Amino acid sequence: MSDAAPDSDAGQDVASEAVSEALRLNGAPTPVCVRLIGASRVSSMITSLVLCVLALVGVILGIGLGGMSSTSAWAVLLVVSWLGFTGGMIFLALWYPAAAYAKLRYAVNDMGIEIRHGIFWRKVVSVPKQRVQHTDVEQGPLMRRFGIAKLVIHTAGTQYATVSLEGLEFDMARRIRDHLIGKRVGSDHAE
Amino acid sequence: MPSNRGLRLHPASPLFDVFSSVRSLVFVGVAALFAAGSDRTEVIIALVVAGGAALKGIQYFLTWYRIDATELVVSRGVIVRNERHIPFSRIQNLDLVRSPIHRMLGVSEVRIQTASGAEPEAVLRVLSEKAIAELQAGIGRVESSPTGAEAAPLVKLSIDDLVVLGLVSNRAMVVIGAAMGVLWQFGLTDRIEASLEGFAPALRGAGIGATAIGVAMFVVVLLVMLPALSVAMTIARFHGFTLVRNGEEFRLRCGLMTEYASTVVRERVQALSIRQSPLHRLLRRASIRIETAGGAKEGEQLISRRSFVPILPSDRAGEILEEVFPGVSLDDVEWRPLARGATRRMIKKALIVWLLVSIGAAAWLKLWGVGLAFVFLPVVIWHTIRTARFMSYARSGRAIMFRSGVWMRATTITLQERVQVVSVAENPFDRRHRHASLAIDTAGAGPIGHAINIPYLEAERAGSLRRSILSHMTEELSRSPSQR
Repeated sequence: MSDAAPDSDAGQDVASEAVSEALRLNGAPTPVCVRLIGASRVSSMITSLVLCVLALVGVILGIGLGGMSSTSAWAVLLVVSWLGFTGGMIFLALWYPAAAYAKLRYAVNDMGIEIRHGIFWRKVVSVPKQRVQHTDVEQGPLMRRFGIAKLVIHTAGTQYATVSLEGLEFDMARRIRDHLIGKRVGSDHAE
Repeated sequence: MPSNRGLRLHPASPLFDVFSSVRSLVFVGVAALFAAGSDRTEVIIALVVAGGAALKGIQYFLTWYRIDATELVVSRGVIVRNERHIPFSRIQNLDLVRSPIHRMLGVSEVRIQTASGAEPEAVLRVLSEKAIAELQAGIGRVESSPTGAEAAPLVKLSIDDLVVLGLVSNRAMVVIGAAMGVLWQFGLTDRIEASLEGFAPALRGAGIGATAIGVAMFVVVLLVMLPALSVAMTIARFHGFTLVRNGEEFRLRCGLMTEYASTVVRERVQALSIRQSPLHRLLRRASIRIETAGGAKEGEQLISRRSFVPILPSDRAGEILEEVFPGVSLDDVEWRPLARGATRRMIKKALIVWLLVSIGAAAWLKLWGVGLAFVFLPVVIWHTIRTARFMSYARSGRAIMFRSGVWMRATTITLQERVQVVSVAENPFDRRHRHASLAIDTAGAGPIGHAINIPYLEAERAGSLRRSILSHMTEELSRSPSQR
């Protein structure tokens, strides 16, 4: 599954160039860089941590407010549900990024770009090249750490005014962007 | 005629600028008066208004516009100067708004719309008739015909039509709702109730109870006052409505007190929607909305989109469609049904909702609730079956069509070359039945309110439709380079 996404930093340029060249020709569905799993695990862990701490504060307040009259059963119930919540959050933070990664595919061809994603609610979104208004390549601090970037495609559409693809190597994101907007400049001149 | 030096707005402009800012300040002022009510707040409000007026006066002398060969340049700003260049080819709509005061002075407010954002790209408040004619000529929108002498209108609404429109749209309902909200907010409903109770003893003598008065009032409001108010509001807004096609553009004008005129370039129309309520169907009428890229989220700008044709005989809808999308016809359209099993899935979904509501009703009204729930059961099933039957899509030539609804029916039509993004989605339930939904996205702010989102298709069909629409679209676009 991860054969197309090189893990080592060395030789990254060569590999991604080869992938990108291959993409342009056949437009086969390709997974994004595996490092996306790590990056989204870290970010969802941070979110879970914040939520768990907030929940813990709630639990402590819940027990405290019960005061003298609170039975130990009440406290146990609160603690157990907090443990369950925390366990669930940790599981989600570990499982979801990998599952989402496994379902995420993109294909670039002469017509444009096609993105497939979703674990339960699956979606295929096709953006024709002529419809790309402008694009952004975004890279936050966490993404920079993991050497990945996010390609954001803006269209003139309503529901799909922006379509984004996460987990691309920075270089690859730039190549796809060039490919998507490259030909359009030509057609604008023809106008 | 296009001059290199900038042109000034009409000298009356500061007046209207002040009007429009005072209007927005009125709310703030009223709120402040209610909050404090001291003399000082009044002084502050007066100062703010006066300051604003002075600023507008200065602004007038610093605002100019220029009609170049290919673009309109608007420059404004007191402290930060802003020079905006709007290429003529990007102008989607040119709207004129004229209140009675505008008319007295022979001026109009001009709103220039492009595809970007919800706000008009430029508002020229206000221009004289002559300046507007020059602007239109410069933009190349009006060939030779001056305002007034135009081709025969596609749609012209008489007072009779407006009365029907007023009754069908029931515009007043919204206003009454808002008014009730305000009354309730200020606790006035209690006072009305109290005064009603004051009446009651007198009437009770005549053998009429308070409930009877309430019911009578309700009936009067519902059957007489609401429709009358609706008709009046409709006439005020749409009086003298005409829709004319002038070469490649549509011109729309209407309004009793405040006149409104708009031009819509044919090429810029993204989608068209034909709508029918049960009343429309009863009277064999329909209304037509259009979608253009950008602009028009609210206010008068919406008239040209929401009420492209406020009302017309339903058999004429196809004619308007052909005017907007040449070569597209509603006749001989082969409507394709949803996938097999779609009806069953929709009934299942409706039954789950019914069950939940019934449980609620049973808990609240006890045995009555259970009874009501079972009375509604056949209605729910019938409604769902009708919904599933009517919902269908069609492709005919360059057009993609989608229709849905039982009570409120909508048929939305777009062209392959107007499609922006195509997407196919599957939820877990879809997967079990090998179904999928297909969404076709076009540009526009959404005044149509009926997106082409076709649910319950066979998954394979949804996929092949997606590919086929995409390839036709790219083909069409490479043939004609203009983007939309």
